[in-house]
Amino acid sequence: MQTPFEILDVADDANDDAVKKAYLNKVREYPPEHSAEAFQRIRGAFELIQTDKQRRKYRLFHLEKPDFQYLLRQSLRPSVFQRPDANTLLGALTEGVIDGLLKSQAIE
Amino acid sequence: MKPKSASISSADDLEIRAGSAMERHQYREAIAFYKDLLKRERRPEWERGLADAYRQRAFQVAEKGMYQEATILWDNHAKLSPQAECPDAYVGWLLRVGQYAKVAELLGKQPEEAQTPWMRQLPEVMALMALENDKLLGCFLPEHPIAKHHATTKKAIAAYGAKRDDEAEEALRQIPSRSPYRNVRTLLKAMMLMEQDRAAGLGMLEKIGTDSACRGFAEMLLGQVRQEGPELDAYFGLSAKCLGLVNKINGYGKTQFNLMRDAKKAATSNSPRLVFEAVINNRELLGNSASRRFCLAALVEYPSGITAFEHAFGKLPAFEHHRLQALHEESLGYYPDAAHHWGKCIETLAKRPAQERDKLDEALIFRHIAELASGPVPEIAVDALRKSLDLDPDDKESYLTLIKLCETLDDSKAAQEWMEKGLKCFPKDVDLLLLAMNVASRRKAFKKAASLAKSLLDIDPINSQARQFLIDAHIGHARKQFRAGRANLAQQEMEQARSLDPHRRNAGLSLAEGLLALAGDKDAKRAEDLLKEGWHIAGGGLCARFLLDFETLCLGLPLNAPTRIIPALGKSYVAKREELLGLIKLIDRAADEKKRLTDALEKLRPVLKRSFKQAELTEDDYFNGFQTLARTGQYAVLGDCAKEAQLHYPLTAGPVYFEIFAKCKGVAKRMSGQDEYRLELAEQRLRGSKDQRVGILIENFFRELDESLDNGFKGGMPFDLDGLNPNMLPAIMKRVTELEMMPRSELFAIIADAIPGLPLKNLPDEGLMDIARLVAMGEFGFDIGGMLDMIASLDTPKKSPKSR
Repeated sequence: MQTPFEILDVADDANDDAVKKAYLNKVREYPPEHSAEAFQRIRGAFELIQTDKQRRKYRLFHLEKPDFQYLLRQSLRPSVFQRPDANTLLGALTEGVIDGLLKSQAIE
Repeated sequence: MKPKSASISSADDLEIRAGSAMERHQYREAIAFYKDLLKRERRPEWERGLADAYRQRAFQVAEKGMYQEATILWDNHAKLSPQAECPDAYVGWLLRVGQYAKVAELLGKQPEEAQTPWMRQLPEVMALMALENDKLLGCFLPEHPIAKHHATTKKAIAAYGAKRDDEAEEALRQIPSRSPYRNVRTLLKAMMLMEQDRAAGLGMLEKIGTDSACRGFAEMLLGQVRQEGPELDAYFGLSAKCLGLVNKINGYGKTQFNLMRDAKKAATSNSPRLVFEAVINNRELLGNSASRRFCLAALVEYPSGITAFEHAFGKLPAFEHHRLQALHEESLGYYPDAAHHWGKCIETLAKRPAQERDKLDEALIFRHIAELASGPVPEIAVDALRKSLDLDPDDKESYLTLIKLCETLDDSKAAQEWMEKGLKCFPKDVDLLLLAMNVASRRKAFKKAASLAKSLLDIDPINSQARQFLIDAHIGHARKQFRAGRANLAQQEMEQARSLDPHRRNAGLSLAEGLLALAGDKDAKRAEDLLKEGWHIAGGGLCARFLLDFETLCLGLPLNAPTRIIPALGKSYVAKREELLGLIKLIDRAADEKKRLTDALEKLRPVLKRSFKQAELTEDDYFNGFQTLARTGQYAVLGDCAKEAQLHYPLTAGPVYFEIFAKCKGVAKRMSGQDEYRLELAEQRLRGSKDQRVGILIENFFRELDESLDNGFKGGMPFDLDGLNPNMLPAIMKRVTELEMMPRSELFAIIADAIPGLPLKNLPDEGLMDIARLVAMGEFGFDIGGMLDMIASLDTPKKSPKSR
């Protein structure tokens, strides 16, 4: 789960101006008419940390619910696509083919 | 079971037995009988019978999973009926037992137009199988597409694996679009593209049709090699070969595999501890900073992990310990414990040296405590907000909440004090001014309220509440002037009120003007027009009728004065929900004229009773209505409304409380024992409920009751009530109420009978009530003499021995 600071792409100790600037940049990048869902997230994040008091409240009373899958995906993100050799590819490609065909027969 | 020896039976007998076995689905026996028959003579009908028995038996054994046997039986059948069509099922059995060559042979023989839709998927499957097993190619004629494009496809795959992209691309170009290898071509192109642009390559994979034999492989890649990381559940469901491929493509080694294994175990266990430990143990791989943030957040759900956390990431400050504990208690809904830990947080912050102390954080925590406490314990919320404003006075919302809470707790002095402080900080704030105006009005400080309303209109000229308040104030003055016989001054007040409503939207104003015109008897037409205008603005019906009757009474006119112009509501008139809600607002505004309000409502009581029965009012509608009726002292209507609400919402406590409140006319000591018991039951039902509004009211009512008893007995019942059976209490309380409510002459007679010689006539009322309670106790077998002695020994002027 991303924090509002991550959503707006600002530092945790950003001030009002920096937060507003980041928000406007994000809105330009994801305008509501083209990316309604992304805009909602951006707007929600901005409303949470718009002022100094809000940012303090966020830090004091808010902890993003830990998202294990997100953490894992972040670290398991494949960086480079590594090409398999012909035998590995062929083995995996042909392995489930008969089962797939028989499954489709059972469905019919 | 082997059939009985056939050799001794006649052919006719055998034929009958074979037919009978077929009918009974005993195909094995039928096969034996037909074989015997055919040994004697090769009759075509017996050959057909045997072929049919083989066929049926083949399906029978296949159902049991004996595919090898099924294929043999079908082959026997096919030898006897060479023209028979090959069913899909037979091909399926062959595939299951790995007789691919036979399938390829069948495919080679069968023209495409004779194939079923399922069979049409076979060429692609066989083409893929042939890529792994070259021997299958022998089953196809060289011009068959599977054989024709096989070498090119293999060449493309080999070149791809050896990173000879030009050669691979050249080979792929030679595979035509109708080839059974066409999807392998798309697949290879997509994989080559993924190396430059993963998303584009994955997009190309999507193009492989859902009926293709390559679709399953494409979907596996789509889920596992995407940019955001693999789908864990599917990852662990992969076969060894696919797992090897995915690990190769994503560059995963043993470390990543172990991490995913731990993750899978933790995720499926649903245990915060396992997840927490998985992250701590793999923090190097997951990233130290991300792991720390994750674990810190996880401590809210799993506070026992704090030792492991500190071991891995370093010690946490005391403030953070309390903060996490507070958030943990909040997540469990234990708000008092959460508030306790927040308090510790404040203590920690306050201990910091002056230059490091952060008062704003302290104030914010106090406000947070107030939020947690405002429902169940408003007193704590008030205290926390007061402290927060001492630390940070620049918070309008806190003033507003604090003032509202003070009002809820009936502490108008504190409300006033905080309002003044709030207005000093935010002198032009509309919300604060509005609240101040309403509070002043409720405190009957009308001059102050009017001045606030004027300030409000200066800042916010379209503020309808301020405008309404001023109009009502002018109408109120006009009424007083009119009743005092100063019609001219009343008219002037009306004109001032009218200047605030130039668009003629205020029903009450038009009605009041109309009534004044009617009373003046100068311009009957104008009076009629104004009354009709007011009636129309009020929307007719219940609200308009109430406004008209109320205004008539306020001006001291006879209630039937305007009846000629505006007839009364019909006898069967029933008001809708919206009308009832509107009426409640009007009652609230008319609270200052209690007597006239009561009279106006008394006239409408039959309509209201009917309407309460039929209108679909929510629990909140009822509650708001109850509060207004209770506040304005309209006990008769409140009682009607509460009784009806109990039928609609029998499980809620509000209607019970307000019915009893109405019966007692708001005085707790008038409550009967039975009602006290009912109220206790209602209070018990409220326990655990989120909405504590009624709970607070009941608690206050009981407190008032206790205090009223204290007044009489100085700290409760002074005598030894050890022998009192708790079950008797409701009956005693009921009797006490009866005595309290009865005419004084009757009460004197009863007391004189019970305690002869008491000088009752000079006794103050409260002293008399004390004696009445004693008499009630005496009626239930208690020793009044002993009690009287005890009361006599109490140091209270009300109950001096002389007076008794």
